[in-house]
Amino acid sequence: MKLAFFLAAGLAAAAFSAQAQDRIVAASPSSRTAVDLFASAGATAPVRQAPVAELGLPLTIQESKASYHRVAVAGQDYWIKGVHVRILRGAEGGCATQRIDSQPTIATPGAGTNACK
Amino acid sequence: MPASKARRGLWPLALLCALLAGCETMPQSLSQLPGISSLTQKPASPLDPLPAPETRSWPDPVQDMVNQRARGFGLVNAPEAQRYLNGLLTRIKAAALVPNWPGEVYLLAQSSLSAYATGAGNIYISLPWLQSVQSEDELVALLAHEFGHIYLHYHSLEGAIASADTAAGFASLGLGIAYKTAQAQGWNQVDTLQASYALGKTLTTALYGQTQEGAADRFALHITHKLGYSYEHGAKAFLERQAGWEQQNDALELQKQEALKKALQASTLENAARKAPKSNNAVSTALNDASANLQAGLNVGMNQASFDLTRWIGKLTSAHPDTVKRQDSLAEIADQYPAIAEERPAAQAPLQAALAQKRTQAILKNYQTAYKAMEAPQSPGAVALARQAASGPTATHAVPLFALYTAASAQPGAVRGLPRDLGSLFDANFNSEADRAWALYTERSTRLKESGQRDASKRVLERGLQHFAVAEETMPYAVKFYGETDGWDRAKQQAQQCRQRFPRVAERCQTAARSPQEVAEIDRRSEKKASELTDRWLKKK
Repeated sequence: MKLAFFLAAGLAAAAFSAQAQDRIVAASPSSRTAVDLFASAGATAPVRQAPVAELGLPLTIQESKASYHRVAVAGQDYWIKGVHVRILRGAEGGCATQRIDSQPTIATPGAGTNACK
Repeated sequence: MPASKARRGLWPLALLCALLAGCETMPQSLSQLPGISSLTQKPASPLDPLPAPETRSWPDPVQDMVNQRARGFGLVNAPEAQRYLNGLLTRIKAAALVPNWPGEVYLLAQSSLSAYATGAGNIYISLPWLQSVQSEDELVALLAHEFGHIYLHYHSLEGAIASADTAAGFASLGLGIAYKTAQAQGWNQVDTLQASYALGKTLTTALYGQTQEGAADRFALHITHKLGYSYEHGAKAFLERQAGWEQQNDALELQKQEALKKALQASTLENAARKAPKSNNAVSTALNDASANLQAGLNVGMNQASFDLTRWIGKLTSAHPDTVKRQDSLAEIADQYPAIAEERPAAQAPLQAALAQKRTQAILKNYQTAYKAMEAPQSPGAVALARQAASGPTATHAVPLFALYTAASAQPGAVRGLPRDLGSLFDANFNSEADRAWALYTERSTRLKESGQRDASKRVLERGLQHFAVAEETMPYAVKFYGETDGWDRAKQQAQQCRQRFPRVAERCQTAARSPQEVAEIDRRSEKKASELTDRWLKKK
């Protein structure tokens, strides 16, 4: 009983971890096959285009400026336009109130699925 | 493992596939819902004017708010934050050319990322959304998405689902029992019936729900663009945050499943060891061990199959399309209409200023602390954290008080400075009109009833009902409570009153009015009926 309790508490604590560092996980939309790589944030012309398969996703965002994100591709730093990629963003949420929350609702579906089920 | 057992393990899956292939077409009432006919239509440009809204009659938004307060931990009383959010909603309504529509934004006390809208025009978002968004663009995208549901008047779906549900005629089977057996044993015939029922009913409604979400996303794109916000930092970031939250919880779900599998395996081995004949014979012992391991493997396998299938059904029937599909859909629109994706700086300053407001800042911090205490109430620092949470502007709020109650209850012995009767901590909430939460009344009355203090328990419940008299969500609990304390005839009378006053929860009230004997009898009949039906279907196959 006690072991199960601590296990559950440990899992819940893991869920409430601080926001993870945002990462680039895919091209956007998914059908995009290549992404423009820029030498600096705000540059108008790309230095080259990289096929999505060669980006080495996921990419850790090292710095963001305006609508550009600095990432390392094949060991070299480039800037990528935010609208060209899908970013996985952290969230400050957890399931602490789950036991009390789990009641049926009479409302429209909200902004997303309720992940605490 | 005996071959017959293996076959028994597989037939539910085969049956489910067959049922899936032959799914009922959508119920008549669903096919007539707004939005269904547009499933195959090309999405309109988000730069075009919005379609005129349908005329409607508004339910009372205040009653709606009281009803939402009766759900879970209710709402967070954070006046300055709400003022900021309602300022944003006012701008959204103006951009949608419906400035006089009723409805406000409220903060839910939930710890998860949650948001929804109701037909009364109100929008409810959980506190963690406020802490997670990085700019006003993202927050406005979230609110505009929810307002999109209101504007597009999709709330008629609720009524249609209810009638489809009744028409399905499965209610009498009392299929809730399936969960009990499924979780312990893996799939059985009752589960399969339930799954097929769920698929038949919800596939169509989920499809409808998915079109709703897409439409609300496009609505949000239109509004945020019109208000000068960025697509990248607004609608795009909002969906990316949603995806991050879902992924975070998928990982947690997998961890839970692994823990469950291990516990199941250990329990099966322990049972087998207990049942095995005592023998000193080495060969016999080895055979018993092997058999126990096989049984454990089978149980774990069945549990895994149940888990996978449940997830798969969940994906198919989710009212929300895959978040990636929603992201792609918006990105394709942004590609098609470059004006939508034009670079605009993120509006971070107004959000930061709102969150830095003194009371708002303290409320956010205290809730975060309360959630931490609730997640690990037995940890040494939990009571101190909870005390801190239940202080200052949140001293009367339900979540911090519940955190303190939970943490103190989890500590061995009395905690210095706290009442021996920890439930009395809730009085602070009961005496604060703006903060009252129905969940605390039910927790308090349940514990008093369990400890034999029937009259005190009733007083607490009746006090709660005075404040939540218009909240339909309180009714099923109240009916059951009176059944247990005053007899099931009274519960049945109350269920009748509930049906007249609150048709939307009538079924739940009726279920709550069943005595334990009636519940047992329904379970018995349901299982028998389910067995007969399944046998008949299997013979057909």
